Amino acid sequence: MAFVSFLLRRLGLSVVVFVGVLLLTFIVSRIIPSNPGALYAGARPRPEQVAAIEKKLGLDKPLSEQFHIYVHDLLGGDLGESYHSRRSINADLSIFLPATLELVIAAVLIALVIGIPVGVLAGAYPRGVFDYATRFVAIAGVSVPSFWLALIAQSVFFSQLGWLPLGSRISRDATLFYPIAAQTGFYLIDAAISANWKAWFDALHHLILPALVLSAYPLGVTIRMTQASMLEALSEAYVTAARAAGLPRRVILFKLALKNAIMPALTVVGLSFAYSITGAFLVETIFSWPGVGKYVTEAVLNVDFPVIIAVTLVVTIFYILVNLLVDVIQAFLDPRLRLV
Amino acid sequence: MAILSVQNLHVQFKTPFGAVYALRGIDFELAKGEILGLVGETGCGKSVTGRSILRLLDDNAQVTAGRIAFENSDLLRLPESAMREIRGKRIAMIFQDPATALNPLFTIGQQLADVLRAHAPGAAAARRRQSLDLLASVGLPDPAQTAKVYPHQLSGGQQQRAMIALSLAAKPDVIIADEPTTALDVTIQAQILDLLRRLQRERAISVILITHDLGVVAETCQQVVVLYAGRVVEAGAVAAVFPAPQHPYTQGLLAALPRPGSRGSDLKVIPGNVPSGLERIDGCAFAPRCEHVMNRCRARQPAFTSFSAAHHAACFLHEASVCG
Amino acid sequence: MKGRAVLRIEVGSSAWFLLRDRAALISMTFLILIVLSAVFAPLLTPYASQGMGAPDLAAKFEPPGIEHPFGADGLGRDQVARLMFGARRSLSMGLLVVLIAIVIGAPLGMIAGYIGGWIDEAVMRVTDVFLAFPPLLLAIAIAAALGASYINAVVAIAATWWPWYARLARAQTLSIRERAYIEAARSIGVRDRVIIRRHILPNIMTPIIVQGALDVGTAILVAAGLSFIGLGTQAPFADWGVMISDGRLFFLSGRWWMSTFPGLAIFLTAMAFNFLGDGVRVAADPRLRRMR
Repeated sequence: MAFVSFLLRRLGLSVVVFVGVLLLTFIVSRIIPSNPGALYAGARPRPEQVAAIEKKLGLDKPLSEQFHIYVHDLLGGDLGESYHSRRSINADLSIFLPATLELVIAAVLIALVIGIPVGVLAGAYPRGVFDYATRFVAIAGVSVPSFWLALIAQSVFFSQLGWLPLGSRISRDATLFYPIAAQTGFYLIDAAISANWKAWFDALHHLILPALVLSAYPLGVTIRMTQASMLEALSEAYVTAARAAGLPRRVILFKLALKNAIMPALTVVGLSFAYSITGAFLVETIFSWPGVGKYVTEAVLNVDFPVIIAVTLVVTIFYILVNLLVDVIQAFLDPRLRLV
Repeated sequence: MAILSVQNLHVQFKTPFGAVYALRGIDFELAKGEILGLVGETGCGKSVTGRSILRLLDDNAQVTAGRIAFENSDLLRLPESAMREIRGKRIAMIFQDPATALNPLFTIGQQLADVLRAHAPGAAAARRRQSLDLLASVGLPDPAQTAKVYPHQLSGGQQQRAMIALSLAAKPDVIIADEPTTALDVTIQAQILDLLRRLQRERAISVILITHDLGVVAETCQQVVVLYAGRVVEAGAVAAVFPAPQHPYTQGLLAALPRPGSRGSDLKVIPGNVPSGLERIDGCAFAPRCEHVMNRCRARQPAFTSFSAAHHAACFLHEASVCG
Repeated sequence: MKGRAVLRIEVGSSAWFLLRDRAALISMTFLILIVLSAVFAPLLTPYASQGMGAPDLAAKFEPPGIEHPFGADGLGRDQVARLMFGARRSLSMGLLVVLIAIVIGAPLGMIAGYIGGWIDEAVMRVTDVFLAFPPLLLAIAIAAALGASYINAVVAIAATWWPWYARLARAQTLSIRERAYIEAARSIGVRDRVIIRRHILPNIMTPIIVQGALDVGTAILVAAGLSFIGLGTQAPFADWGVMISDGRLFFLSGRWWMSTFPGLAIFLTAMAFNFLGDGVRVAADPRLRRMR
């Protein structure tokens, strides 16, 4: 079975990459800094604090042993402690991670739901006005600095039009009068489970603007990649053959070529996820969105290094999983891999 | 009686370096129920001719003159909607590489159903029965199983049979087969040619067989048209042309053909290359490669000389001898 | 001889296509203007010292007007001057990131592709690991580990960027290695070092440099992001990302000009690079060319 062997190979690769990611974050946190102890002890540490940290992290031990402790702690699920707030990073992430994932998933959905059809149409009707307009939108999407777009969006939709809230995940009123019972940490899911529709709409209302801003870059990428794979599919011999057989243009474009175009285009799901995460790190602060992006940017200001490394690791693991999932789905959809 | 006739067909391609003249006046007639071989080296305009008939040329191609008469209409002047009725249903096409001409993501059955649905509205069950009949008629074993598989699960020869089944689906009168055996093994080649001959006989289909292989023409065709640099240099019945080729280019092609009993050293290769089509050619396009070249060959185009009712060639060697 | 003539036609026609692409042409002009204004900033503005950080408290928060066309910031510094001097930082960051990434990535990819075997495997797995991180995240971690500064931000981004060039160099090398003249050179015992220097390097550098030049826009965007969260250029100097960050808290309270103009500068510059890149891609790929 080609599919099973593909699956095993792909899983093996993910494991190799995961080990590499552990090693690389270890290098970044222990070898690159000139004085890792001081870095881990936060801004302007006292010498005894540094000494305590060095002892706790085993920084006086050889690197191989340090790596052993590092991996041991991580695999045991212990991400360490923030030196700014003294709180457990695990506890912090359990609150912040769902907030960011909710935002990122919303952005990815917007990018895919708009980007794929637009890219398909632009690929199907090249050289028209639509093609040029799409080209412009796609390039603008990948060129605009998200943190600047966030400011502009706030000024338009909050200050000028007053349609959408300025920031945060939910309004103060909602937290007071219709509190959401936390289960998954995804407000839209939690509110829907408890049929708390007032809070649900309130949360959605808050989600729209940041999600739209985050979707700009992945939208541009999605449009361009879908368009390219559509053009590619339309230049294949089987499209000429289908025309020679007298099939209607509609069938050729939206059945035959589309199915061939959509599989390579699925790659954009993983990319969109990555770009939305990147955007989240830059704009969460602007939207007062209590997620890992805001967590990290605050950690940068407070020189809270353990937080930065822990978030890097956790988010990267999510990204690896997303890519794995996309590849497996893609392979499953392809009869050339599924059947021999 | 001709079912399809190509008259004075000129096609050029727009490129950044200027226009490329792909066809510079092609004339031939396809008689009903016959197989006509369109031969020449790569770049002579064989495929362009085939695609012009169904108007499947790329966007940068332009038909600058000519007529393609099919029944009572000129295919070059039909509206696109009428053309769609012709494609597949009246004139179908078979391609060189079935591995790329079949859609990899649909089963053979689905692809047949698409063609049937496009040309003959009817019940799904009827379409299914028709599909199985078609697969059986092109010699595919176990049609029910074949309909369920994807192209990559078939061998090259089976893929080409499936492709032929697709082209037959809407019962066309003419099939244009563009190098249908080039991508296949020699033994499979013979089987596919047999199949084409059988279908032509049983269904009274007329076939244009595009190939660079004169051996294939000798085995399969009744008529042959030899193209060089976008022009016809010799045409006629295979029975007349092959024993006594009159144009130096046809002679060269035939000399390059391996024959039973001939040794490798006997094979002659025509030196030089086909012109690119970028430059204007005033005289005979073959002149630079021709061993009999004369001064007038470079100055103007030779006219056709008839050797019999069924054999013509365009060369000054014969213009002189016949006209005195 | 013949091969060379064909090659000349190809390059010539690509350039011809690029020049016919109006968007690419406008982009090129815009980028030349931006670069000139950055290079000659001290000559072009009367507020050169403010561009480098000196305050002028009398002009604090002055809105756009005749004296300061783009207004003045919280320390009264002329925004036009800040933008021009900021361009020096932002553009050089983008350029340096790409340069360093090519210097690291291209040789690695070339060696991997030329030698093959386990070296190839190892290099490719390392690139996999680097590309497993969401783009900005690893750069943030490295920049934080190195300490916040202009040059550290450049190094951090370049450290996450080189795998792209390694992969490109590898792919190019693989395709060239198969050519007949390389096989011939190897068979008559020409040393690998000579083959790499004479045949491989010159052939793979063109596509890598073209790709690199077009990536500068994205590198500027990422560098601005790092500066925006405080890991890039440090006060009193500023790049475009820092300027947006400085103006951010005043943006909604009516002092819109501080963030708007540097944001536009990044936006338009990145867009120009991308339009140019699109033009080059279409010009270089005859198949796309036909589609447009």
